[in-house]
Amino acid sequence: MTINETLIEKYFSKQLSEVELVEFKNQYKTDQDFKAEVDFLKNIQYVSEAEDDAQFKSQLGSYESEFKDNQKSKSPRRLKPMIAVAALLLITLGITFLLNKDLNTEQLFNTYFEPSKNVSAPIVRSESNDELLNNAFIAYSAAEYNEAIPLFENAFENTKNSELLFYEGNALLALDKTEDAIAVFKKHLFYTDALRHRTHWYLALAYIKMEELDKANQELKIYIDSGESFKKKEAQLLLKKLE
Amino acid sequence: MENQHIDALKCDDNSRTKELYGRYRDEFFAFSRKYNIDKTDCADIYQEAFIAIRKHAISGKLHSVNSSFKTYLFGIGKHLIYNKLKDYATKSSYNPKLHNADSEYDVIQVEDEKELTEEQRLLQHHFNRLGKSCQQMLTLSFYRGLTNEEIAKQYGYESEAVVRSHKSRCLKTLKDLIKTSPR
Repeated sequence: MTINETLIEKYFSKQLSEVELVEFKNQYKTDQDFKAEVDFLKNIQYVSEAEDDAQFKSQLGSYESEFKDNQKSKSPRRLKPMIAVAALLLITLGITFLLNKDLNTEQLFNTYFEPSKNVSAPIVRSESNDELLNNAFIAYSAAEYNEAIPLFENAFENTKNSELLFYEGNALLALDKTEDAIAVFKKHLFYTDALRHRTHWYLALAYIKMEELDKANQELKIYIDSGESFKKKEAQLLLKKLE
Repeated sequence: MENQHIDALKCDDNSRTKELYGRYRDEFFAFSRKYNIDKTDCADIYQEAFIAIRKHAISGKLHSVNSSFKTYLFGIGKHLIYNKLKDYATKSSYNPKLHNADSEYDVIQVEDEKELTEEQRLLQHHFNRLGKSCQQMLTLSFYRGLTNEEIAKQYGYESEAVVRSHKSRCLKTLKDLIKTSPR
């Protein structure tokens, strides 16, 4: 009943020897469970390839916008025709965007979102008073968000350090708990700490994920106006895509 | 072919990929226009060619290619341009002379994009509900074909065993999502 995982791993990494390949084919033919597992993993292969391509395509799209923008600013004499082409492209993109709203919002989110780095507290592995906070940041930096979230919650209760809400929101967003993330980010906006402005950027991404594009738009404008340089170019590019 | 370009595409090196994209962009657009490709289609074709060459980099196919990165990229582009011309021909009369517009680059055939089956689309829906690290883990294992050891080394996991257990948790989560979803 146990499935030979090594054989399967070697199959997907194309490292089966001739003998192992015969064994693989034989098991695939005779063992129903083995066949079902391999078929399932092959489907994951197709799906992850499609997702990977879509992500890369959106990355290329952002390069293209940048190159086009640069060329536009370099050639003022050709401004008018360029505006016409850009307008046409925007309309086409807008229509495509409306038609594929689900796919594109997901793609946009995946392209632009990466959990914020820890810019607040150095991680010191010690038995000091801040152990809870330390552990929260250690888990967060290791991308163990499930572990980090309750630690941030507790640390915030104890210290009332509002920046912790920013990281909790990021962790929730990374776990696809978008609505919870929005609630925590909104709570963070009641405070005026150093990370307050950046929360608008992450709120915009969360709203994109929820397909609430008007709100995303608004958050991006607030963020760009705040004068923060972190992800500013990305915010401007994203705003252009939404408008 | 230049190994550093293959690596840039394989390893998701954003800045080097962007540099490559910019390096041949204008020349490719001019090349496309020799075939009377609409300006608005040039960028699409160029991006499709980039996606295809990256697929070939990931599958290991490029290591046995003798031509330069540029020649190969333009060869794929030429294949896609011919497809686009066939597309145009369904809307207006076809000019076979356009097929001879350039002889510098040999056509490189690429597979058409495969449509996902209904079962795969459903799986895709659940795949997208996984956390980012699980999506990455499954992509590296099954699409990129990396071994657990390679994933551990390249992506900073403590050991091969940690990768193995993380992957197995991700697969279990995915299977649970499928099981519990109403069909």
